[in-house]
Amino acid sequence: MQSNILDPTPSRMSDAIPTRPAASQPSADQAAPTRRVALRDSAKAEAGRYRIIEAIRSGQRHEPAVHAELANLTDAETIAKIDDFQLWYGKNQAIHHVNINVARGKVTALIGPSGCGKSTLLRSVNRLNDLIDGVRVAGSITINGRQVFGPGVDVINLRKRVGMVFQKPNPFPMSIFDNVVYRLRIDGERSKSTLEAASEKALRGAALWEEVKDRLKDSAVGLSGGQQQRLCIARAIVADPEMLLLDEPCSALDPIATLRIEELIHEIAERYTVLIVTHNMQQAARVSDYTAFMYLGRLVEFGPTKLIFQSPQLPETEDYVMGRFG
Amino acid sequence: MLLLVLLASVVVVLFKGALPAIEHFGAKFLVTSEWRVNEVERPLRDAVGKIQFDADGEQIIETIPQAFGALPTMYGTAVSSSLALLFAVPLALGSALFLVRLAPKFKLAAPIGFLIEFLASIPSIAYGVWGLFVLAPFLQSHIGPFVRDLLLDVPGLRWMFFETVTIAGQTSEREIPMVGRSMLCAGLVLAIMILPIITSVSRDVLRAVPRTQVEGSLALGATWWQSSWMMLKYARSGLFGAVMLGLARAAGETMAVAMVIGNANAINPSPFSPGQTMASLLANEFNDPGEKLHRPSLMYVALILLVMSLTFNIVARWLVVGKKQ
Repeated sequence: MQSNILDPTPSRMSDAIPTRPAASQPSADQAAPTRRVALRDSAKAEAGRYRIIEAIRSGQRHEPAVHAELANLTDAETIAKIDDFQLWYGKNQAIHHVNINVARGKVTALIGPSGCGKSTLLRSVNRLNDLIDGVRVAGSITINGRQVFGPGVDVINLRKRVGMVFQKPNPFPMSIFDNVVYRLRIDGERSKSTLEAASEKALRGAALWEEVKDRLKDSAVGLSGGQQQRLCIARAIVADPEMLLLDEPCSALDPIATLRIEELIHEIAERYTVLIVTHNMQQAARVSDYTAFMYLGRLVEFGPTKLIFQSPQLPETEDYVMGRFG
Repeated sequence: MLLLVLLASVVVVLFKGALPAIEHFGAKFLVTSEWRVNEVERPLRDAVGKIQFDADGEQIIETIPQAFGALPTMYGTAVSSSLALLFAVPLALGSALFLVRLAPKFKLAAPIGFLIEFLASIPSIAYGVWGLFVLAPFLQSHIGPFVRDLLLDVPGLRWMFFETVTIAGQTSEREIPMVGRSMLCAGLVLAIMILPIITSVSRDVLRAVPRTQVEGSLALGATWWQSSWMMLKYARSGLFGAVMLGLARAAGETMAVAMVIGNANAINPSPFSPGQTMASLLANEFNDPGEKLHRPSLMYVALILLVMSLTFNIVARWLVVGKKQ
């Protein structure tokens, strides 16, 4: 089983089938009591096994286990630096002192149980959380050395530099072509040849060109779910963003569409740095170079994916990726 | 079921009442402009306006029969409603966007929403009185002259301020008097009346736009306006339905229009000249119908109005509700 998980290019169907994030997955608050029970049982067997998780639950500051390879990234190798980042929704703190370095040209995955703040963290990178009332942040995030939060930051420009793909495919109600070039149009690009060249490049980049080249004028809503999601990827990369954020991009897709997107993430990562949130452990193992395990808004362990899944430093990480906890 | 019976009975009553006019005028009723309630007897004149005498030196008296045509009122309904939409739709969509995207931040969505629903419940006669005593004089004394001074020298707009008339064979151009009670006044009063309904339906339609659509465009770096445009685009069929509901109300509105439109049964392209709509014609003439074909003709007009309003409503409901299912 472990070798399957670690096989980065899934060859068998069984690998491609995502363990779906159950629709009924409870939110953090609801889940807490059940987890506590589960923990008490395991705690009986191995007292003090979850040292860091216990510290997090009791509200103490803890030192996350960050593997040396990531702790020692040089600035040139780092595209985004999340530095002592905290975020509050009103009075509730959703993210506590998180430090993550996103390595340039690699895929970094954020994993963790529901409510661990991984999506919130992702949406902080392009400040999509600004839309929610009462959001407060502390600490800093930088992309290529430029601040994300702070006075005088041009949010529109920031979002133009960072592409994002959402959980559910969200094509705009217009033609395939118009969808892909939307990003360029809002910048005022009108030249037809430029737009056409850019859309072809983006659609090829998203492995969708062959399927839609004859019907670019058709409505994007008529595409299948997987095609729609690849269209959203094309839309996000059309203007060569510095970084791509994927928020559980496969959770609404069937296994075959999931497989294609995962293959695509591999290809894309060569050109664009990818930060991906996923519920699906096998997916993280397959597509990512680095994995950060988060719990209740804190970073628990961050290291090369291979090590996180094979020989993590913390027993809680090992149990989580094996599905024994969380 | 009862409603269907009611609707059917309304249609039957109107149709039976209108039957003599339908038989007499047929479809020509829809394309002719005359509206002569009574037979007219007058001296016969020739082409240059000279009164004609017979061999005995007596004036020749001609009898002109009753004539009815709905074209001016259909024109009036179309133009006043279009003017109303022209003024109301941009404002209503802007207000709906404000209510959905900005007002919640300032905790204003509920109070303003309440106010809008309150505005929608004001009886139309109240708007009519306001239009008659406030808006019409203001149009006459300020807006009319101002617009005329502004646009008079713009080529191609002369028709707004001058009309060509033929009196006794003499064709001349004369300035349209600014009377205040005009097509424009009716359009403005209607715009104010339909603003709340378009706003509140649009608000509900825009609220139903999935978050991911707005976030999707924002994540690509769209500005507030660009993402709002995306929302409008996504909701376009529902918004179109909202506009159609407003249009149906504007086209069917009676008293307020009758009070401010000036009640002139003629087609005049200028928005500053008085006009007549189907509904205002009925309000003006139904309480004292004349002889013979007058009453059936009014019934005929009412039938046209009913069919038109039903069509608007059905199309609107289909666009707002039907497509979602």
